[in-house]
Amino acid sequence: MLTLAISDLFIPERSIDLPPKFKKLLSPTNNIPSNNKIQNVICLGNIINSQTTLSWLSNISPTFKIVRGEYDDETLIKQQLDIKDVPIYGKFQHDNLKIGYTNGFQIVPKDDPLALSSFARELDVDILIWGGTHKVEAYTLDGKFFINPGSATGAFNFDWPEEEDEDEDAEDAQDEKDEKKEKKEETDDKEINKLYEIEESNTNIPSFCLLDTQGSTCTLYIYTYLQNEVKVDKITYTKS
Amino acid sequence: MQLSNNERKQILQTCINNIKHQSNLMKSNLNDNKLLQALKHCSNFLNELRSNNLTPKQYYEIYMLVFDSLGILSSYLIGGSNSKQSNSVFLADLYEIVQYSGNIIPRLYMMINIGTTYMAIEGAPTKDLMKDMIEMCHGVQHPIRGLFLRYYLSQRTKNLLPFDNESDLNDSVEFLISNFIEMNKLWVRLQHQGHSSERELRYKERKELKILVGSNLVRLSQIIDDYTDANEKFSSIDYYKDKVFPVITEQIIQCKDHLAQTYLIDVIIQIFPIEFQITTLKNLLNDVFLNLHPMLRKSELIETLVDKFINCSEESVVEEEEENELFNQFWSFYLNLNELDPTIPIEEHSNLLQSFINLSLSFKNSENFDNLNQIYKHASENLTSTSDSDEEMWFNLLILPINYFRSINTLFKLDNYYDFYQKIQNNKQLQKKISITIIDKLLEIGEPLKDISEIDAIFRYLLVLIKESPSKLDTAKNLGITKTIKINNDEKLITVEFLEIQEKICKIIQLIESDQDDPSKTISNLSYIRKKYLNKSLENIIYTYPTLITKYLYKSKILGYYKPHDTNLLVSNFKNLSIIVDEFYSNHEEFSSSTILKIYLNIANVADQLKLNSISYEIYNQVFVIYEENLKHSKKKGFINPHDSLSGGSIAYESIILIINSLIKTRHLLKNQYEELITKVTLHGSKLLKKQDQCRAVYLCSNLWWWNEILLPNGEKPTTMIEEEKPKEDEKPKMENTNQKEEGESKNEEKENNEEEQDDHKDEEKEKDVDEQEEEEILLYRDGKRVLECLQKSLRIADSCMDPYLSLKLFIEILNKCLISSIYGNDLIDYKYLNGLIDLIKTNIDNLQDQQNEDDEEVENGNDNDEENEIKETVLLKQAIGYFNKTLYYIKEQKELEGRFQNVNIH
Repeated sequence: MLTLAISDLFIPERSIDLPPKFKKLLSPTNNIPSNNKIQNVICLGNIINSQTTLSWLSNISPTFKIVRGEYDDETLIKQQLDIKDVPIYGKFQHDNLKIGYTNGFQIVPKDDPLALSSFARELDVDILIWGGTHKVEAYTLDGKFFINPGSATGAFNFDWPEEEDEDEDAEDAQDEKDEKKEKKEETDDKEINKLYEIEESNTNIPSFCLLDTQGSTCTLYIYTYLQNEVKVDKITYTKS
Repeated sequence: MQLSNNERKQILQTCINNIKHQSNLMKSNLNDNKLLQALKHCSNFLNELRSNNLTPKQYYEIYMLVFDSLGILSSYLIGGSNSKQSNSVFLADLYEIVQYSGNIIPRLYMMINIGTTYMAIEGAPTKDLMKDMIEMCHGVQHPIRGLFLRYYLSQRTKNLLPFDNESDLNDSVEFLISNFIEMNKLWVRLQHQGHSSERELRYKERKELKILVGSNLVRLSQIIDDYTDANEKFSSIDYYKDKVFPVITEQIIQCKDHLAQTYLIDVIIQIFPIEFQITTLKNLLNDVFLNLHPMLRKSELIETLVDKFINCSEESVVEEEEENELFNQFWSFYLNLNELDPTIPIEEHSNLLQSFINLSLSFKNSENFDNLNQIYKHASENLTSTSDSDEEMWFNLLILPINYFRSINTLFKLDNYYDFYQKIQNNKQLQKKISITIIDKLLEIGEPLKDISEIDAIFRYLLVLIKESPSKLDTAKNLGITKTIKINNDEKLITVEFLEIQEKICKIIQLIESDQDDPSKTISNLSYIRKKYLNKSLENIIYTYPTLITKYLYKSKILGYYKPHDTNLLVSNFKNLSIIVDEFYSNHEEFSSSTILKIYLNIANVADQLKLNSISYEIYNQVFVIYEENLKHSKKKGFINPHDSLSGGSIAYESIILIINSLIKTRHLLKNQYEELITKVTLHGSKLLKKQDQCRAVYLCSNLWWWNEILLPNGEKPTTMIEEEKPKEDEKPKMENTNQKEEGESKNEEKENNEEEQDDHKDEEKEKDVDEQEEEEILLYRDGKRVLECLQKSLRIADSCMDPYLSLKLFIEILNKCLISSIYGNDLIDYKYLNGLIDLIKTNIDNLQDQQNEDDEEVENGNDNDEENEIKETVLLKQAIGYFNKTLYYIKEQKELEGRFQNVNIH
């Protein structure tokens, strides 16, 4: 069974839309469902309030499950999707795998591997999909598989930047500024470069995940969007 | 006398039968080489074309039969003689002979048939024949019969007209024009045949026949096109302009017939190439169009003409520098038309202007907006609306260019467009539609809005949407099928469309950037749209401010990393941001406090990342104000299962969790600030309404006293611990080798300077080797005793629950929390402590099991008081035991795999 895990779209608060290539990949037709390969779509929240995006997501596959993210307005989503409530976590079983999903903002500390592991233990699942970090990742801990599909739009967030900017650059730039005017252009380039690097480290890469579950095995396909290209990575997890 | 349809059909059938019969007789005579006999039968079937009783369609049917049969005759005549010479003489004789035929219709058809057969033969007196035949055709003045006869002439001569030299060309063109003029006269005259009550019917019949007349023009265009002249000075364009165009348009104007003018002008535009149209454009517009039937809809013809120019725009027939001239020709025609006839209906104006807009938009010079501005200027000055439908037509004018917008520049330069847009301000629905279309286009283009002038150029169109009242449902257009959404505790209704519009405005806000890659510029642009546009409706800021603030904060973060030393700039940015959030809060605290809390937490975290600890501290205090004012007592939403620790809880409890998770991420608050804040949140947590919320909040708060290096970004060096006195070694088991820095900074000073110096002499390697990093610098806030206190407190709260099953569940949750705490190195949570907790849980389970067994016995004994409750409790106990066993199994695993929890007793 193919399950799409998608999260943290933040439309329109932090992004305008998904990369067109993602949209094409995920909904190749105009039918409902728009993708006849995906059986299950799980959205881990932080969609914000885009009705069009919600409809698009819920039309991808026959089943659509959504959990509330930290910034979602439950009242709105409920009515937009015409559903009774938007839970904070969910769980389902396929073959021999129990799969749980949540945005994870109620987990303290948020994103702490042990706290997530404890959450998975209490929820009694083999695979836990969570979101809220905007960073795509997947790892195995305590025999369980943890998947974060990242942000499908690459929306920014207010966590610590990925990497500290080398302060040396700044110093160099500072020094050069004091030098002769001839070097001004070079300095400008450097300044822009520095800004670019800072923006880079505060930007997230658009991503989502597809889970192919069968028996006790989950093959995870990680889709990322870098420099206008879609890249796919594969990780396999087998429940022991 | 009017015939019925059936009668006509019968007549038609008789005609057809006769033609077929006579035609067969002709054929067999020809086979026997009895030419004169054959001509007699030919004349017989041609007689059928004299009929008065057929509709034009029916007449056409028998005409086709006749045409084919005459073809047989001409084929015979061509093959009739062997020598060319004798054939020529023979056909010349025959051409004379058939002129003795009694009736004019058969006579002329046979003449044309033989004459044209003769023309095909080399050396025939082609021009004489042409002249003769066209003269003879005057003899038939009955409209339908005359039209078909001349059509026959035109069809037969199709490939025989000479154009070897200019004289030939002149004669052939004259022949075609003369035939065209006569046919048009017949065609126009047909309108006036019969009773006046049949006018409509005549009109319809004429429409069916129009192609016969038009065919002459088609042929005319072909012959001019095919003609090549040895003389280089010859120009087919000039030829058309001087010799063809004036004569045919003269006829078209003179006939004063609505249908003829509409159709024939259309044909002229369609069939003559674009180069011809360019040459005659001025005449066509000013001499022809202005003199056409007053009732005629010029806009349709103009549309055809403009479309022709647009379709040919790829072919570069009009050079870029000629485009304005082209437009001006159309434009001066329009002005003349206005002068000549001030009563042109508004719809006609709208259609004409639409054509002109389309024309300007097709121009290669897409940066030239003078023409469009001219159109919109004229429109806004001269068009006045008398009804809603007028405004809808204006709407068409406004909507038209949007799809052609290539960049923001377009809107920017279309000043008069905005003036015209303003003219329909009474019709907000139309204005909104236009604005939405503009937004959609801009989002499609995706170009950033870089400066104030660009922002103004766009946002003036957004204002109508920004100011729109969400509670005013517009059902007029949708007849009540508008889907609504309840907000603010169901007190207010908004439409889905309204939400979508607000979403689009937010997306436009996303486009705001600066022109110099300068985050502070972007920030000031964001401030600008707030003051100038967004807060023009305070009711609606709830939809746009989160986006505005979030973007503002993000840019502040970038700026902070870009200019870390410019503290004044950064601080003033945060203060301005704070004003915006304040405005949001003071207008929407009732229903948006939770949103604002999250916004403040983000601001506090960013301020902390940028080492602006006093800002961060102040914001956290603001967070607690909001919590106390609006969130502490907020009503619970729906049913919350107390046993479910995973699904959050009341709004107050969720707020506490969000505050904890935000504080956990801070690294640069002063120690006393940090301790004050985490003590405050723990206190609030312990005062939550429900026991389970208190318990969980407090055990979660324990995390605040034990920082975890895993949550720290690479290379980040927290400062919270630095200025305080040396931490006690026993509380920092993982940091024995830490080289404490003692830079001697003043306690009250902000930390930026300190951080700077730290960075100076250190080339931080971003390695996974946490231990090595720790040895170097990382100072984590850790206070094992306070962690223990929190856990103890949560245990006490759990124990004080009236529901023993809830107590049990909470105990197991705390056990799990303790395990994590232990793994993260808090030695105070040792095996003894864990064993005590495990024992406590076991005892509780035993007690509850005993109790349930007793209850079961009672049930069996018939004391069935509350069976459902019993079952629920059995399930709860079962779940708790399951969770407990999983926890024990986890301990076992950790023992085996990691060597942890060695003395913890799990059996």
